[in-house]
Parts: sequence; structure tokens; C-alpha cells
Amino acid sequence: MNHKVLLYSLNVHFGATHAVKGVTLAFPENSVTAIIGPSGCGKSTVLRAINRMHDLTPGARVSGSIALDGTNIYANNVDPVAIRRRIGMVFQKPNPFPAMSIYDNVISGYKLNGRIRRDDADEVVESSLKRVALWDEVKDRLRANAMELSGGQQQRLCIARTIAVKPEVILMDEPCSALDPIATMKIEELIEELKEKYTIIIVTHNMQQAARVSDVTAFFYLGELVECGDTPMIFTKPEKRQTEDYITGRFG
Amino acid sequence: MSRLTFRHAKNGCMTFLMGVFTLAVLIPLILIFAHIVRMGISSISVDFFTQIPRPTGETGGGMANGMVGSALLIFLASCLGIPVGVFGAVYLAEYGGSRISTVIRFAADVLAGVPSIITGMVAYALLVVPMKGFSALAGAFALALIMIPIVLRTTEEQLKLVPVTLREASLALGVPLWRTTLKVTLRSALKGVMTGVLLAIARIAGETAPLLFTALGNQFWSGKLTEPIAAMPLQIFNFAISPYEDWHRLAWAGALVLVTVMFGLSLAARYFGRTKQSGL
Amino acid sequence: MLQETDTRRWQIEKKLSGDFVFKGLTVVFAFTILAILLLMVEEMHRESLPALAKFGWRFVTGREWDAVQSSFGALPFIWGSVISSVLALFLATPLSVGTALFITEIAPQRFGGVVSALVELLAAIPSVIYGLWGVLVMAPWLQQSVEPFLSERLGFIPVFQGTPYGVSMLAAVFILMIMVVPIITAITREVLLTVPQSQKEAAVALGATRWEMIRMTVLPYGRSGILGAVILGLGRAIGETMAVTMVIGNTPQISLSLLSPAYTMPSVIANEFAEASSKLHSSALMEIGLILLVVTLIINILARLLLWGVSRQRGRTP
Repeated sequence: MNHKVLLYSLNVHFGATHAVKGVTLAFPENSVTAIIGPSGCGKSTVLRAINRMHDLTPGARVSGSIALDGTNIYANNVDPVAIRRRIGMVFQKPNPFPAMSIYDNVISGYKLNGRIRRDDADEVVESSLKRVALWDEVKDRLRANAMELSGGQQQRLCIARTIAVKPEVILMDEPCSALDPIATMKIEELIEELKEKYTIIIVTHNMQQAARVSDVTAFFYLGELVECGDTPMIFTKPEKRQTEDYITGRFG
Repeated sequence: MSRLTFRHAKNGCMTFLMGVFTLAVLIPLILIFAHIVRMGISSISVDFFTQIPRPTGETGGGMANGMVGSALLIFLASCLGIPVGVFGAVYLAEYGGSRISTVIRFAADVLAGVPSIITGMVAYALLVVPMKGFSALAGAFALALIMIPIVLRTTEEQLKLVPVTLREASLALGVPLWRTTLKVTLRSALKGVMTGVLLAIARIAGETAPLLFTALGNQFWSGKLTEPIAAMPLQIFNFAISPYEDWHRLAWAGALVLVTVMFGLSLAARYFGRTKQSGL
Repeated sequence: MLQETDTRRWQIEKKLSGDFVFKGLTVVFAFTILAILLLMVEEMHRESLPALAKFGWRFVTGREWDAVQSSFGALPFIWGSVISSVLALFLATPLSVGTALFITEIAPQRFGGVVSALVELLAAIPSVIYGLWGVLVMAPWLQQSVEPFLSERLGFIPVFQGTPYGVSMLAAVFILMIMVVPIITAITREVLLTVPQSQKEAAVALGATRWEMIRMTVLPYGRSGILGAVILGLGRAIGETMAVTMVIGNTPQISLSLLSPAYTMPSVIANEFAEASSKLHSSALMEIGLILLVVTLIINILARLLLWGVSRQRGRTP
């Protein structure tokens, strides 16, 4: 299997805080990698480093490298905006644009960047919403405000918005933590389908979720990568003591 | 009298006193307001809105040129004041380092406290002298200087209320920061920004002192922006200090129109502003 | 469009970005604020150089203001500004603080809300309209009822001696008081709202009456903020132009009597600047403006520092 994204001795500092410490980790293509660990272990920080979201945080410093298809995205000549088009992100709380309709939210990646032809827009909206299994629920009210949808629907809309711009990698930062169990199940099914086309990296604090949806699991503790391997191995025969303690619920 | 009774008596006295103070504050203000309404309504007429002032000694006439002049001055001032205020606020809220932002914020607050007559003098030195004449442009420039700090501070407060998650959502879609700021952040704060703009317009609509030696005033219609122009507050001032009863009536009518416009703007600002404006 | 996106995805070379241009634009606008402030001081200073050179310190001690003789001393205006503003503040402060306390601590919430909305609306009335009322309603009333009474009954005090003119220092003090009360009240109210409920409850739990609670917790906690509000009011009063010009009588004299006409710094600028008879005359007026600017800058800096302290306590970014 190809390595789509490769972190090499990645460090992230926030002012004097060393949040991520020398992490080297590969994410295989067309698979789901889960990042788990207790809160404050730096898992979200790692995730946000992958599409350069720290660029805008005052005081944040990223060193080491992250390669996307072999190109270092932190190299000087790289435009972070171009990177974010290839690496999409879904956030913890559903965050559709409140002033936009469902339709406009799906094509927001295009609209915010300029114009999109009407025919193209219709096509993108339909195919993206179908992919996230939201089409049948909203096809009659595409012009309604996105905030009228339920939390689970909003999160699927956010995923549709992300895949509408055709990224290669999708980062998910605890995408189900604000959702009820049924909505969570739908998102998990969706992740399963999406991995055929996309490389998915998901941060979760829910170990059952990691076990259910991921192919590979990485365990972080105090800013360091403790262990990484095939998900069944991590959950049945972890190599490190810390990993075992965590997945058996002895801490965290 | 026991100690406790004394304390309760004192409490009662002070409470009563504060009530009296409140009345003492409200009564003159209400008297002024009632007087403006009474005198204004009895003086206003269709002519007031359609005629320009008559020469001394003749009765009748109106403030049509003053109203148009004020509207024009406000429009010109907004063209300069709103962009500077709004984009300056974008810098403070989105880009500025904490120290330099603090300095600029402080400068804006201090600028807001500079007497408006000084603004007029500065506009005189910067525009009237080089252009060799009083003009609408100089008046609008002076008003814009008053507008900028108000728009800047209210816009900045509104931008800070826009959740970070919305900015991130847009950035994560590969939208550059500047487009995100324009189309997501500013767009979301639009109502609040409108509030600030309306408050600023309400403020400059009644400003007189900065126009005294910039726009100067004009008895007639003015054709060019480089000529002196009439403005309502200036006309009210000139009519008020004149000895003619008829001009006093025009001044009251003008005051009523001005106060109505300002209360209208104020109400519109409240409608747009979900959050209350802070005077701090 | 879609194919174009596909190819664009591989362009990761940096272009001269819109971000750079946009940020540059906002930087320019933000620094415009600083530039305006510096430009104001610089322009006013430059324009007052002739007067500064000619009169030096005699300018602020001279009592004579004569455009024909080109002899300019600003003391009567400084005197008028200081006396009118300080007396107005002296009257306005207890009224404003009392009203703000009434709104926040005593009145039922709905009623307090109505009062404070009213006060805020009245703070927005332009000064020319206060002046209109002042000159056509208040001054005649002062001349016919208040001032004769004062000079007859209290005439043995120098402050109340003289002929009742109506337009007078007393009229200026009253109109300024009426104008700054809404401003000080509105800001004091916001300051008082920052007093933590827990502190007030602590005082009440100790058995304090409402007034004792106000004395023990509310006033000490809000002290610097209230002071800031009052100083800000002072800045407004000193710089107030139109209303004062319309009621103060515009006579450059230094009189102890509140009943005689006087003159202030902004008023003389308002009356004479547009028709200044000579270069030196307009420069002298510019120097008065410069004094006014420097004084109000100092006052505002002081007031803002005090008020920023309050908003920081509230945990809000200033």
C-alpha cells in the first residue's frame, strides 16, 4: 500500500508549550487511520498540522516535515491554500455556513473562491449529497437554510461540502462527538464508503469507534506517538504497556 | 433611635435621593425633547422641505438645500470613513499583533474624544487652504475623520464575535484568508457592522462645529463639490442665533427633522445590532 | 470549471497572493488612524507657529484679545473653558452616578432598562439642538426668573453679582451639565454592571442594607471606572462648541460672577476662525486649538486608561 501522507519528525510548539514531539508516522492511501489518545495528547494538533491550519494561530510553530505524495507541504514554495484544497477537513462541531442555503453550502468551496457554472453546480450538489446519503432527505428543500437541518444532517452536509471540492485526503477531528448514536452510525457507515476514493485520517476519543471504522490506529500520549499498527493488532495485542492500559480503560 | 433603625433610615434616604437624581436628570431632557416636538410640529410645513431660505426680512422658506447638502456630506464622508473604519478593523481583528493592535485601538478611542471643532480646523488646514476655498469636500473630510473611530471600534467588536469555526471551515475548503475574511467573516458580521455605520451616521448628521470653516454653509443650492455647501445643522445654528422670529421657527422645524432622523437611525441600529453597543 | 479544478490541484507553486495585497490594504487603513492623530497634532502645531513665536508664554497669561491691534492673549478663554466645564462636571457627577446607581441597583430591571435607553437616546441629540433650546428657552428663563432671584437674594456673594443677561456663564454651566449627564450616566452604568454579583451578595449576607452594600462593594469596585467616566465627560465638556457658543454670551472677560457673559476656547474658534482678519489672528486661534487638542488628548488618554482597566477586569479584551 502507498503512503499518501508521511509525517517525519514533526514538532509543534505553541509559545513555550511543546505540543507534538518528534512524530514520524505514515498514513496509507485509501484507508482509514484513527488517531487515539487521552485528551491533551496532541492528536488534534497533529491533525491540524496536516492541512497547515496552524499557520494562522499566533505563536504556533511547526518543524519537521509532512509529505503529501512525496512533496513536503511545509516547503517554502508551497501555497497552504493549494494544500487545503487537496486535504479537506471535517470539524468536531458541525459548522455549516449559517447565512447560506443547503445548496450553497455544498458548493461553498467553489463559490467562496469565485464563480461556478450553474450546470456544474447542480451536478456537484447532487453527486456530493448522494455520496453522503443526504440527497433523499434534502432534495426537496435545497434552498432552505442549512441551520434547519439536524446535527447529524449538518455534519453530513459538512462532509459533502468537503468532498465537493474533490480533495484527496479528508481529516476528521472527532466528527461524531457532538452527535447522537444514530447520527454517529450513519457517519461511520459513510467513512467506510468514502475510503474507496479518499485517504481518511480521523481523530477520536472513542475507542470503539476507532476499532469499528479504522484500518490503522495510532496511539498518542503526551505529544508523542506511542504505537502505530493495524487496528486489530492494536486492540488485541498492543506492544506497549501504555497502549494496553489506555485501551483497557485503566487511564485516560 | 436604635442603630438598626438609623441604618434603615439612612438606606431609605439614599434610595430616595437616587430616585430624585434620576428625575433631575430625566426632567430637563424630557422638557427639551417635548419642546422640540411642540415647536417643530407647529413650525413645519411643505415649504420647509421644498424651499430654500428666504432673504432676511421675508417670511417663509425652508431648508431643502440644507437637507440635500447634509445628505451629500454624509454620503461623501461615508465613502471615505466606512472603508477605512471597516478595513482597519479587519486588520485589528484578523491580522494585528497584540501590541500594535492595542496602540491603534487606543489611538482610535483617543481620536473619538478629540473635540469636533479641532477636526474642522485640521480639515481647514489640510484642504481648505490648499484648495483656496471652503468646499463640500473639506466638510465631508472632517466628518469622515469623526466617523472612522466609531466604525472601526464597532466593526472590530463584531468581527471578534464571529466564531473561529466558521473561518476554519472556509480555510479548510482551500479558500484563501482574504476571501474568507471578506465572504465569511465580514459577511457574518454584516448586521453588526451596519449598526456601527448607522451609529456613526447618526453622530455626524448632527455635527455642526467641524462644518463651520469647511463646508461653511450656503444660502442657495450649490452646484459643485468644490463650493461651499449648505447643511442642516449649520442652518439651525445660524437661524437660532438670528433675531428673527420666523427663522427661529425654521430652526425648530429643522431640529425636529434632525432629531427624528437620528432617532430613526438609532432604532435601525438597534434593530440590526443583536449585541448592545459598549461605550467603554 | 471542474476540470480546471483538477489541474489546479497540482499547482502548489506560490503565486503573488491576494492575501498579501489584502493584508497590505488593511494595514494601510489601520495605520491611517495613527497617522490621523499624529497629523492633527502636527498640523495644529505648524499652523500655530507664528503665534507661538510672537507671544510665547504671554499667550496663555495675556488677558487682551484684540484683532485690530493684533494683540492676542488667551486667558479669558482658558478661564471660561475651565470654569464652565469644572462647574458643569461638579453638578453632573452626583446626578449621573446617582442615576446610574438607580438604574443598576434600585429600579426594577424593566424600568431601569427604559431609563437607560432614554438616557442613551438623549446622549445622541446633537449639540446644536441643545444650543437652540438653550438660547431660545433656557436663557430667557434664566434672565427672567433665576438670575434676578440670585442677584437680589444672594448678591452679597460675588459669584451672584451683576445684571442678569440670560446668556451667561451660568447658562453655559447648565447646558453643559445637561449634555454631559447622559454620557457619564451611560458609561457609569456599564462600569457598575461589571461589579460581580458575588461581592454584592457577600455584603448583603453580612447584613448590609442596600445603601451599605453600594457603599461597601459597588462604589469601591467601580471607583476607577466611574472616575474614567467623569474624566471622559470633562473632555466632552471642554471640547463642546456649539451649545456653549450659543448661550455663553461670547465676551472675552474674566469675571467672578456666574451671571456675566464669558467666552470659551472652542467658542472663540467657532466665531472668529472663518473670518480671521490676519495671518496672526488665525494663527492665534490655531494655538488656542492646539491647547484645546493637547488638553483633551491628555484627558482622553487618562480616561481610557481608567476605563480599559475596567474592561480588562471584566475579562474582555480591551
